[in-house]
Amino acid sequence: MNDEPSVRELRPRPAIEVQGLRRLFERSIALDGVDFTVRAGEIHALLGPNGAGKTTLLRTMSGLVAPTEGSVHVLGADVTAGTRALQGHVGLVPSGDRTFYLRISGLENLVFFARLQGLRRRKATARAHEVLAAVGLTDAARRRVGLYSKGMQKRLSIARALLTEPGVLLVDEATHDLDPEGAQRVRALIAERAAAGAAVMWATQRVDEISGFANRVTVLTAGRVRFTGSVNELLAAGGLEDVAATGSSGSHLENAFLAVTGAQA
Amino acid sequence: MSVAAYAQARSRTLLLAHEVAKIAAFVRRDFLVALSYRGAFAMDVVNLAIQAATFWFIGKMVDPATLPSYGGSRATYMEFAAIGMVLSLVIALLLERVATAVRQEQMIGTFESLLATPTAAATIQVGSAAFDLLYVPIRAAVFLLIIAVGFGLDFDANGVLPAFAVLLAFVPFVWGLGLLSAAAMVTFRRGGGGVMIGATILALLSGAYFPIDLLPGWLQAIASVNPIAIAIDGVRQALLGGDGWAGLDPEVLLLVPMAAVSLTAGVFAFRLGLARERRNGTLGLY
Repeated sequence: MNDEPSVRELRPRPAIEVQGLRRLFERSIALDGVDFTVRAGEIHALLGPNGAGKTTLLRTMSGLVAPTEGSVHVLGADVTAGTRALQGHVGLVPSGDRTFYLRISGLENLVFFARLQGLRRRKATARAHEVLAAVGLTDAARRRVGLYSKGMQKRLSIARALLTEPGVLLVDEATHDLDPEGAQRVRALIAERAAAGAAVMWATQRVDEISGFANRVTVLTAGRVRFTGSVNELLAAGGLEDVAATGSSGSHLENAFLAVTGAQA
Repeated sequence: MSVAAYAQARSRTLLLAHEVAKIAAFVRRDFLVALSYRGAFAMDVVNLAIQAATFWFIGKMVDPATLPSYGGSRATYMEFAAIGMVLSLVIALLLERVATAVRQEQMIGTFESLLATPTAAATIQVGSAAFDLLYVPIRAAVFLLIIAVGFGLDFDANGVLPAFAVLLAFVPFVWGLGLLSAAAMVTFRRGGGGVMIGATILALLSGAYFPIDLLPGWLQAIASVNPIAIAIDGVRQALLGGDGWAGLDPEVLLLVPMAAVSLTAGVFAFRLGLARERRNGTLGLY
């Protein structure tokens, strides 16, 4: 959408590189020596209980919070060294449901955010229509966002993140308020974007949804990384069998998650 | 200029043009939001009409000889107070809107969504206040017209453009004060009180509702360099004096450096406040 290097040009390097990341809030430690990488086209689940530091990690990656120590590189750029150019390539789906102007329509909200991404009005309107169609909100496009359900607002949030076809998607608890069908639809949209080459960081506390969806997993508790690897490696780390061989992945994953975080099953 | 320096300057100009274009998006957003509150404008007109009626009756008790003269003729109290009243409304509304623009974004939860776009913090602040910076003075002019017609006030048509020019020089001063207040609000969440108290004192010493000559001598000295008093007096000279541009006192020009100082201080304080919040990781908190 602008003159920055394309995602493809940056592919040889990981799309996201986090090294020794530490973030303090006054005296409490939100993130403590976090390291991991995410490659282009990968869906990387960030799993952890409430207060694990998932949202802080995503906010740091999007440049909204400065790290206390360590480094975060997104698409090869250091997010601490000025993030404006980078932000056109990063789509953020925040966890809150109050991230839109409720008195104006979904379409007008998206046109506004598209223009802040640097699109001219006509192009912004056309792109807003495209992403609204992609998330199934065409019929509600001219309705005030205040009249949207939580699920519709979440889909609108994803539509906003897709406005620039970003190389990196940071998604925070996107399916938290959604019914199973809505959640599946959102995951399908994200998977489609990953298939197109975007690196996806998917923060969730729902262990069950990562099987068959995420390529890799990082488990975070109390600001520390307890595990990073594939879903099968997570099962193995929890002393469990291969998910493909066992079938009921949800409960197995939950047990594996509890095992690596040190909690009791 | 070298080729590299020219290219850099050109890219800076392009970047600035991109940022300026974004302000139009903010104005459209706020216009649509304002349109969704259609009753608000009507309520403002009703409130102002009640205020105007109050001053109309107060005016019956005031001897015009106690009022200053403009262009050699004495104004009625209603003419004198109407200008003070409308300008006070402009100041109060602008201060409140500019000061709370970013706070509002924090409260409704959209501030981080804005910062997650490639938009400069200064653009967000200017953009969030841009609609009001345009709309409030226009609304004030409409109010003044309604009062003038409703109460048969004798304003000079030649003075309309000079009065707008005075407003144009004055608005950045209020904007700067608003930014100082916004910086305090972003930093302390409930801040801005100090700036507001300062603005209230300046409003008291502005001569909006009574002549400054009635103040004790030492307060008159302060009032003579009060930008609000200078602006109100400038608009009165324009609309009541009957001499158009020629009727304006040269001291109206003082508004320009005062506005520059206020705006520079406001922008600096706001940027400091925002940088501090980013470091603390508390930008989205309210």
